[in-house]
Amino acid sequence: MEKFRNILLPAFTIALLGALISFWILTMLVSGAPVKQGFPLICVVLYTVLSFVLDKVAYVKERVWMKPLILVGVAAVLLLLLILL
Amino acid sequence: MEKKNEIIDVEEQTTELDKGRGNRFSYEPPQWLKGIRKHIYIGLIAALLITFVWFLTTDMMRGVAIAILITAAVIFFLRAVLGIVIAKKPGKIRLMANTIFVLFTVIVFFSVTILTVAPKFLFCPNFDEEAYAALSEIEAAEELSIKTEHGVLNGWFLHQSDAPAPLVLYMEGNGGNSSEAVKNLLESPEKIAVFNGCHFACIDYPSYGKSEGEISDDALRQYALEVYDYLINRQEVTEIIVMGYSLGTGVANYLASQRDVAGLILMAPYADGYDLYNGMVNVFYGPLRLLVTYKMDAVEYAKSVEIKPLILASPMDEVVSYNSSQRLFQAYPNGCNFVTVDGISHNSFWKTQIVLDKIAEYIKER
Repeated sequence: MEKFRNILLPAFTIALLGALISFWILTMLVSGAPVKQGFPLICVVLYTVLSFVLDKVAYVKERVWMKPLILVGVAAVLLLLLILL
Repeated sequence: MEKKNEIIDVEEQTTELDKGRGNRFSYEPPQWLKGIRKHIYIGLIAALLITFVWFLTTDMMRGVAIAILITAAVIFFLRAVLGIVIAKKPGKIRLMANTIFVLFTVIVFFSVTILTVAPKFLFCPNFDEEAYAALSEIEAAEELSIKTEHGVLNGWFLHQSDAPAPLVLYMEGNGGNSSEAVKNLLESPEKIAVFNGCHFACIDYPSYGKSEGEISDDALRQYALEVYDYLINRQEVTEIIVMGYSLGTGVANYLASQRDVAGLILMAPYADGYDLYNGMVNVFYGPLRLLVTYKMDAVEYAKSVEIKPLILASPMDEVVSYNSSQRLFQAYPNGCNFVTVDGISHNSFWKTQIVLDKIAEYIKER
């Protein structure tokens, strides 16, 4: 398992970072609004903090389904804002 | 309790053993980072997925987003294979292989992004339905449908004289279309006066307006020849003056180098496709030129143009650099009327009276 993780994790990390940085450059090229231009970065920070905070909240911790539900809900709201604004 | 102490001892021994090996290339993240690593990954994945879905909802970026995601999958696979290959190698070799792979990844993502996104910025196929409907009501405007190998090319022929007369064939910029161009001309007495005594035609590029086909470097060259060969055989046309604006100047230059045109008018012309790319992001030099798919070497075409063209360029042009227009002007073997129109932006050529006067003068005196 450890061997498997050591091979796949760096591969996943580099592919993820590469794609995300490309997307970020693209948002800067296609979006006029500064908020949209920095969207991928804002999203990384927002979700990192959100995930961290949710893990500390006892009420959420007790219910396994709650954290993914909140994360998906926030994603839906963000998407809606991006498309509509 | 004793057992726990034993485990701690073993861990400490292992750490000491690693230190003894001198494995200075292995990286152990700090404790605080280990604690939030899971959350950072959630942040990265969420940002990627949300941005990806957002791009999927836009026509312009859909293909680009899919291409980048496929690239990410390929990079993941290659890095996994590399991980297996270098797993048992010494730390120095692993570090070197990882560094090379990171550089390779940066180059691959950059190349894929440029190759997929550049044509989206360069070509903006569009159709002005309102202008099309308005022109359909005007008797002097004849809708043309030219059948070619790659599909039907559609556009407008504006009759300005009952007798056979010269024709001005207009090649639009990347954001225009034939209906809009002809309608704008008809709505402005100053503009229409420029072409007094000449017919005027504008045919949409492939995929623009109602024209069929895919737009590319080759498709535009083919388009120019097919349109010219069709129009010159019409009985109302005695000769053809080619006029290009922005993107259309490269196509007009190519046509003038291949066919016997009566005049060549270029507004905001570029020397080659590299200059157009550098106008967007100024990095396309050396090996990065390999990423330029729209080459359209107007300087090379200009060397075969026998007539003396009229070039109108502005130092304030924010899309096509003035230096690029100057580089082109030096390439014509029989000289060129180069007019510097100071203080106008790229989209202001048609709105500037001095530009219209110079074009009218050129058409009369050529």
